[in-house]
Amino acid sequence: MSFARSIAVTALYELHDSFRSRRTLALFVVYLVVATASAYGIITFIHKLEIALAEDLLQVGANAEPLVLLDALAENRVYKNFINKSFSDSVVATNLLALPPIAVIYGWLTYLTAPILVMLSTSSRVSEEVSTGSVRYVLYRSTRLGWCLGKFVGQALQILVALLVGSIGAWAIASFMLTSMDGPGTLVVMLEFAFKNWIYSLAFIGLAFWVSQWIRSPNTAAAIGVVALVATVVLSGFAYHYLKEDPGSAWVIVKWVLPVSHGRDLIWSPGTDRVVPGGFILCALSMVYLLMGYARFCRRDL
Amino acid sequence: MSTALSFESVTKTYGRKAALSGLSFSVDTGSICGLVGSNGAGKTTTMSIAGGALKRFEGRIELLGQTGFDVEKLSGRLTVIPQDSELPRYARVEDLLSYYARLQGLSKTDVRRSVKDVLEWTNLGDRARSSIRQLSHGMRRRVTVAQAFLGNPELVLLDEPMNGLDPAEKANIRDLLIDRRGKQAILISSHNLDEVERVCDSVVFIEDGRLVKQESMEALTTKTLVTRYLVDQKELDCSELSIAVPGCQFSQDSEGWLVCSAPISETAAAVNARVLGRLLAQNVGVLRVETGATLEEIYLTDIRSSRSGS
Repeated sequence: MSFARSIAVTALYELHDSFRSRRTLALFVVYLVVATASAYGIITFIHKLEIALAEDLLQVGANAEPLVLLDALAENRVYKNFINKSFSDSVVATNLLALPPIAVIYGWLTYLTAPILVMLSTSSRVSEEVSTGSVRYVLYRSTRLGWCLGKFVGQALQILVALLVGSIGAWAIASFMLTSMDGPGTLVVMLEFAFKNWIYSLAFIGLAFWVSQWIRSPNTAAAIGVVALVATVVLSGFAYHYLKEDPGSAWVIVKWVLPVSHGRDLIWSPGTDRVVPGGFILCALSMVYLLMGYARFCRRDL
Repeated sequence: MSTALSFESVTKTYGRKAALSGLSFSVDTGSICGLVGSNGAGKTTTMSIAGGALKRFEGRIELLGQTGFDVEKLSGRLTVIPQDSELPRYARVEDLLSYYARLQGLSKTDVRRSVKDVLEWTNLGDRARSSIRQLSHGMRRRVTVAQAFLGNPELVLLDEPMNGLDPAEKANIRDLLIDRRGKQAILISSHNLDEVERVCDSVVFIEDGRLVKQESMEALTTKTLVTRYLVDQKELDCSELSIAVPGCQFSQDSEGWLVCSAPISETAAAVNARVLGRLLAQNVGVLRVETGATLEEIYLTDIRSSRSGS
């Protein structure tokens, strides 16, 4: 059997099996609920804030339509300076200010939650099969690498579906609550954010597969997956901090081998100058992580 | 006859403990071979090495003309029933078998036909749409048997295939295996020596990871003259008896049966005369004498002799 076919067969079965598995179905529901509830919660919160600001500070009447004030603020010079300084990157800030606020909020939420969901759902995918022994039914039918890559692709497709479903759910809630919203335009931006976050998630799927190929116990693998995610974020924070002080320091390596800064480039930058390299590097990192795990998995007694 | 599987001086260790110590044996193409040994003798390790699950070992294995386990060359030609390995719980029987069949390279038409055949063959046709978790232990076992015969593998490795099956299911699987004789090489690891005797053409005895004996079933059951003596003493020194009665090997079970294994060239009368003479000289009372060898008796005699030798 060809290597490519082995990957395709395993990926399709992984996807098919994920729809039959209650846990994965639960993941889908959780993701949809998180996306829609967050959209609802944030819109409601900002609307209340707007009403309070309008009434208490600006001494004008409350507006029935949420996010109108935020839209107005986006045009304000002081607000623009504030955003520019917050992001330390005027290009990114300008891009964000030009996008529908609800889409940006959705993008942020996905950027923050997708890696967590990926690590929780994917870190045990290989170790589960190793611990139950079900992997032994495929080892004499497919190469270990073909099987791992197939499972990786299956998981990636599953996360893509979850992100797309989540974005459509969040958009539906926003459309319902924000009647003046540019529906199709916002949907396109949200789907774009979902897709970019998916590329970003690929690196974390790779990281989860690294863990999963090393650890036999599924529970331990899930726990180590979360620890790896936290370590990634913390180290990226250190790298960001120290590189500001000394751009030539060895922290640049840490920045390069971790997905966070590339994710920022991919998701928040306009145009293609930083988006395309960011996406490529994230895809490459996902493979590097997966192969780091495979280096042990290929020699392991199972 | 060509060889479907061969082990040459294979050694496998787990930490400091040796599971296999220079094991060598072979299975001929189209034959059914039984792999017999006590718990911890190394049967599952042997199966796992042959099935590609264990990678780190010393020695040389050959599978269907290939040196070492190369899944790209063996996929679809070799199948395994691994021991203590669960099937994915949420998978539907038919979907799972189709997935395995596709993975071993069968075409769409062959997948459909092969899955249908094995489901019928294992009486699982009515459970094709059930998920694995809805099946009883015996039915799950039948699914593992079914997956091992998808396509037309040339070599099938069955690690304790009858475990958890009821007598009717065992008989069914036994008949199916006998039906495969001459078409596929099958290596069966089992504790059930009666099943092995009925199904297999040859047998490999292993103990402590070493080969004790490899013989054709016919040669084994006709080459050795086995005589059993029910004696009134339950703790006879079998090693001493073996020295005192040259050419014979002795073992004794907990009920007092003393089993004597002698070369087939000897007659039962001659063996009886020598053994009874020795027992009477030791003031051992003989209550009953039986002649005739079963695989179990041959196995027990060989294994005990191997243990006392080592």
